[in-house]
Amino acid sequence: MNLVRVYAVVLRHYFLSVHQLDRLFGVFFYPTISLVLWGFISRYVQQIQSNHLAALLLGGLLLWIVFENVDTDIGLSFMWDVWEGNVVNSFASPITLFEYMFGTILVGFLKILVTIITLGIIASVFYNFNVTALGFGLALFWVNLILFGWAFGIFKLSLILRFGSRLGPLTWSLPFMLMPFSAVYYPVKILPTVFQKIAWFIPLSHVFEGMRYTLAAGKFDFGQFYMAMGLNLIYLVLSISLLIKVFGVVRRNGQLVKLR
Amino acid sequence: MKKSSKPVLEVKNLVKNFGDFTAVDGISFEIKEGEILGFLGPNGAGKTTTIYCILGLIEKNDGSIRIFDKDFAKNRSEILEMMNYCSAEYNLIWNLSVWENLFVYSKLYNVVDCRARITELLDIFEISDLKNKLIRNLSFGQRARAGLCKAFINRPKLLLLDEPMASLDPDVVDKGIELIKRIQKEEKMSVLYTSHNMWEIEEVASEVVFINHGKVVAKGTPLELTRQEMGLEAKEPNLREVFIKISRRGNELS
Repeated sequence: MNLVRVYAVVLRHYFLSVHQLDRLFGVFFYPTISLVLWGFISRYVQQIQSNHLAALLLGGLLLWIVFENVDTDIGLSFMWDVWEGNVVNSFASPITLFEYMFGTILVGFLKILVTIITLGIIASVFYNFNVTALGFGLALFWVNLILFGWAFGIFKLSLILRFGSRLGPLTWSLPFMLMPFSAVYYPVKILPTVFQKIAWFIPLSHVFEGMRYTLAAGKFDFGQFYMAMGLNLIYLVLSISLLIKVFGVVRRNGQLVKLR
Repeated sequence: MKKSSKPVLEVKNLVKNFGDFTAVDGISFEIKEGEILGFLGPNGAGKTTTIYCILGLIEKNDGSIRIFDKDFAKNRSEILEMMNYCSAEYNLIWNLSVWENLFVYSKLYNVVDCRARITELLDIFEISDLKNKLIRNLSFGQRARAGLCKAFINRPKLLLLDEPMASLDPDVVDKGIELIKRIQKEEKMSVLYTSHNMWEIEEVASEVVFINHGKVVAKGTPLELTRQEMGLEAKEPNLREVFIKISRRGNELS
């Protein structure tokens, strides 16, 4: 074995990590977030004695997947265009930014409908969890999850557009970072006070609090629904404004044609 | 029929800065209907930046770009529907077949008779047998021909070709040029053509604009430019020698 050549391989990874810090996400980011998330879940499970525990966890997962897929799909669709070197050809055509985004979002929406139906059937057949137990509110939960998925997805796409494809992994990692603060598997009150304050600014927390209320009380929590809807509308306006602003910036600084 | 006197593309005093660096420094030129303009210059001269400004992919700092006698910024989609672009640097969609790519682009360019047009172009560029192959499985030459099919999909009135034959062998380039000339003549389109193969430009271009360090340094027919740089006794265009002379002179000045 030639240790100099081994050293060359190590050097290669070192240099790449310096240029692309996201390569180090797996070293500390994902393990830390996982630990925090499961720490709060454990604390919650120890405290409650509920017949609904399985439903709370499965319901949380099913709704989380809706948000995660809608959100990730926007970034991923754009990243495919970047990886295939197709951004220039796309925007050299008559398509407008609005049409491009609308098409991307529409595809994501159709895909999530298929996902929802598939997961609903699997959860019902194999785990005896009926998504319709959430009543008509289920559709309203989905509306808020999809709206926030769009807002967050457009926000991430703006970051990738502005700072380049090295931020591509944000497509997968950022929603994961939101998870511990979004009270997906446990109520907001389990979180430390500071985290609780953050959580109430995330529409997802209101959706999941609403889901737990519906499962426990059999009623729909309109307060949480309106809060989530209000926050979603604000975030949608902000993320669309950011995207328009960033698109102007990357056309001025030439970054749009350099995306690889 | 009376020929239109208005240029199809009119670029006036175009300026593009990236921070302190001036990539395009007051370039002016025009392309008339049915004309192929050779757009030459060394690497980093500002050719591609100019093309991106014309396409609206990069925002200019100053100057004006009028296409079909319209302001680009105010009529972007309408103008782009009548234009197209091809570069060897950018592939079609990697994981789609040739036909699927052309179908998608025909919709982007709002082509009405798209199926017939795709069939016609695949036939002209002799890649009908490849229509179901994924772009990533094609050779360089096949990809270039598929890219040219995309460039002609909407019967553009103005076509921007940025080194469309780069890194292809001379045989493929020769065939490609013949096809481009044929379609350009049949469909009376105007073309802006950049290349580092000077014989390619001599073959296709009636006029040439030479830029260096973001400025226009010479204009004329290939023979005029040759006589300008090599002496009046020159009988044939020799853009290769012209290119080398102008580039080296520009580098000395800078």
